[in-house]
Amino acid sequence: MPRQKSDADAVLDSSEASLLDIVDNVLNKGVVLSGDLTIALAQVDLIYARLSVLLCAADRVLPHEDTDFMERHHARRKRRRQVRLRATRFGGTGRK
Amino acid sequence: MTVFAIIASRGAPQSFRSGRNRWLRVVREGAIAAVASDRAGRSSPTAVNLRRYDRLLQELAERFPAILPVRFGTRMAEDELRSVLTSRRAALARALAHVRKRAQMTVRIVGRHAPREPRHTAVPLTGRAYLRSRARAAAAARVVPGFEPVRKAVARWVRDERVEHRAGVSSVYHLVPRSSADAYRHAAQTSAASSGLTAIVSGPWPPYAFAAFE
Repeated sequence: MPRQKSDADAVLDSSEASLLDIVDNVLNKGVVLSGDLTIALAQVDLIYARLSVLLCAADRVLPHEDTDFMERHHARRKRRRQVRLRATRFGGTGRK
Repeated sequence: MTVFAIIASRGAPQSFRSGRNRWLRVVREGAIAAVASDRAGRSSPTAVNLRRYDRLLQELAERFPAILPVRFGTRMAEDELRSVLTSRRAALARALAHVRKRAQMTVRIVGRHAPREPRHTAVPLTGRAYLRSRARAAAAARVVPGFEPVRKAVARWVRDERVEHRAGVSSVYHLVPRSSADAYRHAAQTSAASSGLTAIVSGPWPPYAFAAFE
């Protein structure tokens, strides 16, 4: 029985395949430049900073933040609104 | 400045114009250098800009024997860049040596689901058990059902391999000598067709998948 075409098949069958390669290569791969910077004065380290730059597909850095991400975001907003409302009723600001 | 690639200092010019007439500067720190542009302004990740970025990196890969593509959108002050090059000098030099005169070939396989990683029922109690479980997980991550005939057909050119499984597509990235790209593509396509594998072979690309390091 022929296999049903998935979204991945549709993309890879089309001219978008090369764009997929470019997006994957350019956004998800490549050196992420990061370094350690220590600013010293008279042999004494004063400031330490970690430098980093990262731009990549969301599922790389948030592997579990997929379909239910927006649901949880709305739930958090709702909870915050309720806390503020309750605090206003009892005379507070609701903000910490 | 916008940073495009890391290269070896040796033999690199101070600056040069790209094919699209963009003025590029080589920022050197010892044996390592970065190809960067002083042009102000940020590039948003649109299809046009991504293609333009890739074309520039293809051009750099043809010009220099070893390049490490830098992630799209990397902008930093020159002082920061110099600091990064200095602090990561050894790792960058190793990565450059690894990709020298080599290119990336990509094989994407659709519809062959990677086997699920075995669930860990027990937490490894000893260091040896922990390392064994890590080795098992790493071996499982390399498995692409049906890909073994292709892997064998191209093995003679492959110097390194990365495998990823995402959204129903398995991607195998191979680092091969630049001069072998055509032979690799032909062997991979022939082998995939004869084993009934839906595979898309692309490349040669700059070694994007082999530029990441810890």
